[in-house]
Amino acid sequence: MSLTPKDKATVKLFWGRMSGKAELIGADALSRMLAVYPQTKIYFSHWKSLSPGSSEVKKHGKTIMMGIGDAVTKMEDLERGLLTLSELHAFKLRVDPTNFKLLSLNILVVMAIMFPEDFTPMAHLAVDKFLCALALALSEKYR
Amino acid sequence: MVEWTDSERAIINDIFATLDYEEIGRKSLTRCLIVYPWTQRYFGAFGNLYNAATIMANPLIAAHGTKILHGLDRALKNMDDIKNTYAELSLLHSDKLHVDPDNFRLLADCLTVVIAAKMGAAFTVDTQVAWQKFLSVVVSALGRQYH
Repeated sequence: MSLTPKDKATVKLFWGRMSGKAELIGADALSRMLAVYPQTKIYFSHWKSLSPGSSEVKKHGKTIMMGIGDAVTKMEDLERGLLTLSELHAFKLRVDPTNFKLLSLNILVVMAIMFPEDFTPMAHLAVDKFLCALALALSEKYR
Repeated sequence: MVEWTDSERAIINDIFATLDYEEIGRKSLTRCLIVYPWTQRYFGAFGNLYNAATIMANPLIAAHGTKILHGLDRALKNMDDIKNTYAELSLLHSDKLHVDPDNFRLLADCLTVVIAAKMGAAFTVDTQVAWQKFLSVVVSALGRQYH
């Protein structure tokens, strides 16, 4: 399921249109994930508020999207590019890797809302492949 | 038994009240076949699935998409007993069609993406929560007769 040149081009194109609204998109995707999959709240029990508008959700949504933006620039070697982030998620945050799928779905939902005409099945395929590859690279250091 | 709040019932009913079954059914099934190509194995008798363009133009797939969505009507009308409502359909999918139950979740995810695109900003967090809860109950009911 590796990324074809066309997949990479599609991801870069969408990222170009999204990077300006990274904070909003990240916060939206994160809020949706926390609401639809309440088990994900466990990783944020130290936050004062987990509700959609909260400053913590906004800030962390931005952090996540910056990470994804970074991954977009490192698409040729995600495993190496995300090594440090993988160590963080594996050893410090100890995020169950199954959660990466849950956030990915919500990123796709936000993209569908933002680009109702352009987020075609082919675009969805490319972005889903990228997010899966990203999740795999993030899981690299787990064992 | 699944508990539904009044708000959740209202949200789900509202979505179905204005749903274009043909459009959303076709879009969801074609998206699933394109994004998760292994699901095409269940549609061997449905004609040309050669590439994304032919899948999206395939009238048999479009018709089946509509059929699937009308199948969801039954869950809508029997929200308090989706499990038993789908007992027969579950047997059909497990014993006759041999569909891997993980695929129900994949189709549900595609349906969510298509509904999100259709509803836009109206697909709020609360709407999504109710919608995905409804679909997860459906998915669970469909997978029930497998074990």
